[in-house]
Amino acid sequence: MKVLKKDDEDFPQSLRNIKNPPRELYVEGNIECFNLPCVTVVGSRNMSEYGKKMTKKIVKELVEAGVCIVSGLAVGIDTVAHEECLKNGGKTIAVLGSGLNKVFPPENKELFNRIINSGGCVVSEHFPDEEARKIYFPARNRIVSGLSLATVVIEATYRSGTSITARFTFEQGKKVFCIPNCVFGKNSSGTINLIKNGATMVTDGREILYSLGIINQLKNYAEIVEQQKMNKAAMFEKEQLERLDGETIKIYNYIKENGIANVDVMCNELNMSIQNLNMHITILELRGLIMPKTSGNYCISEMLYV
Amino acid sequence: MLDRIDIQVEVNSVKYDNLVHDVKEESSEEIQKRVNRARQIQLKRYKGLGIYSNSELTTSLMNKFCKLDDSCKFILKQTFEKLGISARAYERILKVARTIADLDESENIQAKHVLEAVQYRSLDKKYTNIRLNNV
Repeated sequence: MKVLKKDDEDFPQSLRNIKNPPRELYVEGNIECFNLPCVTVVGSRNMSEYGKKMTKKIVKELVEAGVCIVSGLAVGIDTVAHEECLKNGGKTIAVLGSGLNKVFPPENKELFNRIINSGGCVVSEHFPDEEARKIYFPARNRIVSGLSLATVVIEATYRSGTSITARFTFEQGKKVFCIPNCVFGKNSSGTINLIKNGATMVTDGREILYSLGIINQLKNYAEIVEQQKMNKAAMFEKEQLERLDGETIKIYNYIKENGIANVDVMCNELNMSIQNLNMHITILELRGLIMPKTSGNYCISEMLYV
Repeated sequence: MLDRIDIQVEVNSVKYDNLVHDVKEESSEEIQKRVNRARQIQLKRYKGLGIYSNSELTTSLMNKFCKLDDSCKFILKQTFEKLGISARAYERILKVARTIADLDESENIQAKHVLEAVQYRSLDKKYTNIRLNNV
C-alpha cells in the first residue's frame, strides 16, 4: 500500500485542482493508472437488465480505445463496469468509501484483488482500517469524478449517489454523459434530469471518445449501426453462398433480383422442374437466405434487407 | 390441425391469360403412369404387412422402410430447428419423402427427396413464422 500526500509527485494530477482535494490518498496497486485517460462509469446499485447491457457495451467501447475505467466498487452498475473492463483486458480504478483493509461491500473483496492483479488500482482517502460510514460516500464521489476526464451515468434515480457524482463532475467543469432510458423506468429519473440540465446523451462509447478528443473521427451513430448491419449481412450472405452449388445460387440470385418470386414462375423462367426447384428452395430456406411468403412466393430473408 | 394434412401446397390464383397460355406440362396420362409405378413399388414392399401405402406407415414400420443416411438426418434436424415444424409434421415429411423416392424409383430416401418433401409443408412453416414474428 502506498500513501500519496497532496504535495507528492505521484499524487494524481487530476485531483490537485478539484475543490477539497483529499489530503492524502491510500493506493493499492498500479499508480500509473492515474496518468491514463480515465472515464468514470457509474450507476444505480439496483440496476435493470438494460442498464447492465448498456454498461457492458459502453465500457467495452471505451476500453478498446485504451481508456481506464473509474468507478466506486459498489454493487450493480459499478461492479459490472469494473468486471467488463477487466474482461476486455483494460485497467480500472476503484474508489472506496472505506479504508482499504475494510472493503465495502465485502462481497467485492475478490473483485478488489483482481483489479489490483490486472494492473489497476484501488484508492481511498481514509485510514486503512476505517470502516465504511454512510457519510463518507457522498464525499468519496468527488474523487470518483475527480480522477476522470468525464463521467458516464448509466442508470440513476433522482436522489442517489450517482446523481451526486454527476453534480461533482459538473462542478469540476467536466462533461457528464447519460444513457437514454425509458421515462417510466425505475432508474431513469436521475439520468433524464441530468440530460435536461446539460448532460450529453450518448448511445455509443465512441461518441464519448470523440467528445473527449480521444478519437478524432466519428460517424453518426445511425450510420455506424447501418454499416455494421450491412457488413454483417454481406458476410452472412457470402459465407452461405460459398457452401452452395451453382444451381442453388442461380435461384437465390433470381429471387434477390426480383425481390419476390413465385415457384411456378421460377420453374418456367429458369427452366427447372418443380421437384428440383423445391429441393433448392428448401436448401436456401434452411441456410436462412430466403423466407416464404404467401401462395408459393419467396423473398430474401429479413436479415439480408439493409 | 393443419399438420394432419400430408401435403400442403399454396398456389396463386390463375390469371385468365396464363390459363390459355401454352406452357408445356406433363400430361395426366404420363403422371398416372408414374403414380401407378410408385403404387406397385409400395404394394410389393408392404406385402404381408397389412398395409398398402406409405400413408399407412406406423412409427415402427417407418424405422424399417424410411431409413435415413446422415445427410437426410441433418436436413431433418435443421428443418425441425430452423423452420419450427411439429413432431407430427416430422413424420408426415418422412412419409412424403418416401413417396417422392418411390416416384423416383429409388430404393432409399435421398437428401433431395427430403428437401423436396419439406416444401410440401408450407402451412406449417408459414404459421410458425407468423407466430415467431409476433413474439
